[in-house]
Amino acid sequence: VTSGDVDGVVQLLAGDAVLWADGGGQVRAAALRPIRGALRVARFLVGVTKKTSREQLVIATRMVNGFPALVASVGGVAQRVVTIDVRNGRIVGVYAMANPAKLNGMRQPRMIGE
Amino acid sequence: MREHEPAGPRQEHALVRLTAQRERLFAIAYRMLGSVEDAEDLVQETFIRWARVDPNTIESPAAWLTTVVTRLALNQLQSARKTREAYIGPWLPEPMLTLDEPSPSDRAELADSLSIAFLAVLERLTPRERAVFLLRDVLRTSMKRSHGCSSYRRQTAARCFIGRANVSPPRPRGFTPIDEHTPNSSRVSSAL
Repeated sequence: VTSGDVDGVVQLLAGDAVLWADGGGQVRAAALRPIRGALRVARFLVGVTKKTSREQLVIATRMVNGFPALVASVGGVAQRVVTIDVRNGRIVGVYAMANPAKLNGMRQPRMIGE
Repeated sequence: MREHEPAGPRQEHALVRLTAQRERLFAIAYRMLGSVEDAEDLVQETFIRWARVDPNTIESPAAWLTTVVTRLALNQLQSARKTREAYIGPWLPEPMLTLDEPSPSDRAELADSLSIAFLAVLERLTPRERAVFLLRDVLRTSMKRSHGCSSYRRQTAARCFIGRANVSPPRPRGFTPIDEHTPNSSRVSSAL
């Protein structure tokens, strides 16, 4: 995604992949409707990454809800959290959280409770 | 927990057990609400209620706590429904940073039931369907293993909700064991 390679990203996505973005109405980069289809999802991901790369974003892979996820932070504070749903080796769902009010759970790690 | 009694070994033992329950109750509340802060508040409220009852009247503290936290979550979810319907854009559960220790395979299903994808699917259920599904289908195995609840009692707790809700919720898509996609997840994330 960071290299801007749309075709490369499409390869990772299932044809009917869907991206949901939750910006809580406060974040411009968050799509208000789900984005459907591998190509559109890939273009959106690459486009958003390009736009935000001007800011002081640090992108890291962290464990979120028990699975690897991409976390984009500024000054150690999470701004975007992207989790994926993988079936049969392809990404079928991309969940992007951008609502600042819903990123409190990213401050410190928790044990996974039973 | 009891202020009027000196903390004897028995009380201390009870306290240790309650602390162990905190993590479990948080996970239930979080799966119900999809909100970290709200889940923490509910766990707190559950313990406050626990402090008000006579422990001798409670046969299984674990089952009692599960019931209370689930009912509180159910109430909150029902009153939060309008807010979520008026939400701008898609409503997603709050992500939560977790310790990156590899999950042993026996906890795989448990970890999967905390995934954002799974919780997003739960949003399609009504609050009651969600409670029933979580208690009956998701928490079944872990309760049996770690808290020694008899299967009879677990069934009773679940049936209590099923009876009230009178539903048989569909099994949401996306509840597959972690080992089906863990290698792929890591491959995909490293590719990203």
